[in-house]
Amino acid sequence: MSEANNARPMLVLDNIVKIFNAGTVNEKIALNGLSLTINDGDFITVIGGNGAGKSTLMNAITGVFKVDSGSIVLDGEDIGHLPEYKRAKYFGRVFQDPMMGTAAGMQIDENMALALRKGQFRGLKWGVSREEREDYKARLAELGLGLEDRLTSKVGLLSGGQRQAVTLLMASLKRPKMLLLDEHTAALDPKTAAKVLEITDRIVGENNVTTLMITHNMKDAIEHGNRLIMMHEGRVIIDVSGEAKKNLTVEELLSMFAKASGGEFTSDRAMLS
Amino acid sequence: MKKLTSILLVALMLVGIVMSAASCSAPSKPLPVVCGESGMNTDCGIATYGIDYYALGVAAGNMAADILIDGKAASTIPVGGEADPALIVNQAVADEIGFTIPQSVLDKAGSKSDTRVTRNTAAIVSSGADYTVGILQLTQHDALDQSNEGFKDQLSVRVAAANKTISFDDQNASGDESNNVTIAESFVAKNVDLIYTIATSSSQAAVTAASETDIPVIFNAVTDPVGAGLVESLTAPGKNVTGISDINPVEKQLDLIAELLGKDDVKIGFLYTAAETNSVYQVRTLGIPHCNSKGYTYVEKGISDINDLEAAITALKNAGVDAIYIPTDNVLANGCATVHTINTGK
Amino acid sequence: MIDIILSGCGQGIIWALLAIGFYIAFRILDFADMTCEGSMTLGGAVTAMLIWQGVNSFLAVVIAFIAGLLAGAVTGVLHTKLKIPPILSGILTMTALYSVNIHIMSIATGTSGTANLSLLKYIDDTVFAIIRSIIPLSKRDVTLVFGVIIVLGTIGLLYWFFGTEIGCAIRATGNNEKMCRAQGINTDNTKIIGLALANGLIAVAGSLLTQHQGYADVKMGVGSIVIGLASIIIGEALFARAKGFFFKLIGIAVGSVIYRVIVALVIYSGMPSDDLKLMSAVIVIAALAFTNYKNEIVGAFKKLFSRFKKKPEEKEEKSNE
Repeated sequence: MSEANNARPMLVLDNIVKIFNAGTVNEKIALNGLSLTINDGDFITVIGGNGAGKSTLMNAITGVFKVDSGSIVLDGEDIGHLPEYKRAKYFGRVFQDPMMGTAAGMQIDENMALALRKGQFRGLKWGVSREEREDYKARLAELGLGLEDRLTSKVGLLSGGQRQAVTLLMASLKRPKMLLLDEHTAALDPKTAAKVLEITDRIVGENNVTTLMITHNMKDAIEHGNRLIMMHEGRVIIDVSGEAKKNLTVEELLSMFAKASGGEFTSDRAMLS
Repeated sequence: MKKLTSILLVALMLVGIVMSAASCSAPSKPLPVVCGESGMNTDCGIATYGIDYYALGVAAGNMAADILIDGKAASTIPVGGEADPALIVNQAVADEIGFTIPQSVLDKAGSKSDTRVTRNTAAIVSSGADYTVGILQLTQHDALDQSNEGFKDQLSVRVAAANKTISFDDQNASGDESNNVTIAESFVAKNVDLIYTIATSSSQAAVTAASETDIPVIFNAVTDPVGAGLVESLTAPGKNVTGISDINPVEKQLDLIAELLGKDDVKIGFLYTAAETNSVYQVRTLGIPHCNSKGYTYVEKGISDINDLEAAITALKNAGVDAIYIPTDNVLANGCATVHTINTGK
Repeated sequence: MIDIILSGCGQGIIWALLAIGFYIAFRILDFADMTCEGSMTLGGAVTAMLIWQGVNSFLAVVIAFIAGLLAGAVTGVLHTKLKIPPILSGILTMTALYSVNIHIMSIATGTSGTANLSLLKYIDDTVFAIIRSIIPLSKRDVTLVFGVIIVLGTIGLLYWFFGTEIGCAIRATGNNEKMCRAQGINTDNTKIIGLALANGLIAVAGSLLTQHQGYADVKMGVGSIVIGLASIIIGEALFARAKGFFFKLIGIAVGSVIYRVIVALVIYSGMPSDDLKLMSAVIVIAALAFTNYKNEIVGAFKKLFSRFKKKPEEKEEKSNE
């Protein structure tokens, strides 16, 4: 894992506010004046209790909705006004649900071909070329899951872990500016989850891509990445990086949270894992 | 902002309610109605010259007999129609709307003598007949059914008189155009001796299917056979196709309106379904030129479906028409009771 | 009887184009498109009107295709830009097309409100008549032959198209729309293109049918959705093991032909034609039941056959004792 390049911010979030159902009894302030500077090459793990705003943060960055106030500047460009599909070419996203990142009815090579053309005009050229197939085979072989022999299998036939691995490959295929991982191992069994995380580390390291990874597992959050942030009620309350992060233990993290938020960490999942 | 829009909406609704109440409050006098078809007239009209679809069927049966038994060529038989329509008076409706029918009209009135023909069932066999006739009817509908019955009754009588037998292959397309083609082609495949079709699109399908055979086609219930491409002219069909047009005597019916109201410069309100070719033909090609030649004035109100009736009738009344004329129209055929209810304001 | 089967095949092969078009919307784009009834009639109305004006009938088919493209695009825009639900978008376009079709037919006759346009005077100008002037075929055969050529050609073209980049994007849109947006695919555009293509094909079916049956009628699209669905379901039931897009489409074409042949046989056999629609429903139900309960049905048949197999074996055992 290379050191973060401190001189160059990749994503600057300034005072982001997002309120759902404003003015009603269901009003929820999901992001409450959140500010965060992510540097090029950072691999940030994000933890927090339910409703802390982690997924909302990712949705705000990718443009699933527009924020109520605050600015989102990606690599110097203000992307806050762009619709989702126009921001898509900058980001690679992997979701918790293995079904979401791929088209189940289409083949592995077709899915990867779709990802390769992200941001490009899609015309009448053939969908998957022979050269591409060789490239995909090589990349799939690196995963060590035996998928390189199943290029023409429909993705729907793969297991959850295999699908997430393919989604990861697809997300990083065009060297995006940022990789956004939203609890992408949460739906997998521990053994597969560990494998997928191992693949994640390798892909992030090889491509040196700025990564934001949401996880509910505090141990994983400490062991992966170079920087850890903890969110609570729509803001960042803990931000640890470098050596301090490496040497953290789960107990220390919990007490840091109690001090910063004035309450016990309420996520059972995080506690028990 | 939301509160303002909801207040505006409620205000608009109230205005609408007040306006429609105002337009309803003045009890509008019911207008005399004349319909193109006698069945329709029974529900809402006071008088008309009526076409008897059963009689049309009988006429078609005679044509078929001429072709099959006497060997006449279809192309030599001119297209027939209702030659002498009966003047039918509907006293009940007239009394209900408080309209006095002039004596001159009453004198001419009289329902036609019973045209029922008793079918000769002995002549109809299911196999081994001397003649096979394929019948293709577009949809289940009273007028179409009547012309079917009349045809079978009369033809069976003529066949029996010639000491022959006949079998009928009676098919209904159930309103589905694709079935028209399939049924017509099946008749051709079975090589029937004659095809009898009821309604325009069924006739067109049959004529196309039989075009390269020598199977004659007799059509019925087609208002404009020339426009439908079935024959070249009414007097000389030109192909192995002939039949009966169910065009109602529009001109006579409009003159009847003038006679009923006792004035030569009547204002007639045409009420019809805008998308029906037959209705448009009766109103625009026959009705309006006749009005122009006789000096009647007119107002047109085309509807797209039954739900527009109320608005259309109200508009005609507001335009000050003396009477309403409804041509033979498939949509309005089922809506005459509604017309009457709206007209009388019940 | 052969005649009636072949005539059913001829009709069925033209309806296959409609079924394939409907399949693109219904299965590939996962969009229940009701525009079908309107765009089919549109194809017929445009073709009949153009032939009346003396336009070459082959060119008329091409123009009908373009008209269908536009109709499908309208439905697509209603859904993507105005956020109207899929079924409603199709119904709205179909309803609007009713009036449009009447206007188009009225151009030919000059009388407004024309709802039926006869081609009987122009019967020698249709594509079928033109082909027959070159190759001596009977009326029934020319529809079948020309239909097969067009359908095979269309399937080939579609196979190529859905393998291109944009074709893959359209397939993916029907499969997982969210993922497509994340991959930068403009799903609004892919939906519009897919729907346009589907209705273009449906309009061509309408065009060929009009030239086959000799008239265009504003009501000719009524019931076409049921026919399209029935063709797809029968095709999928029989070709369930078909792998590959090409064979799936062939399966639908065959399904369409089978459906029309069954209807023709039913009519030929003299069943009361009031029951035709009931028959159509029964055919579709049977096909669906077969698809869903295939294993049970096949298993039941196997049991029957195994009983017959056992009897001779038992006899052998008895004779051995």
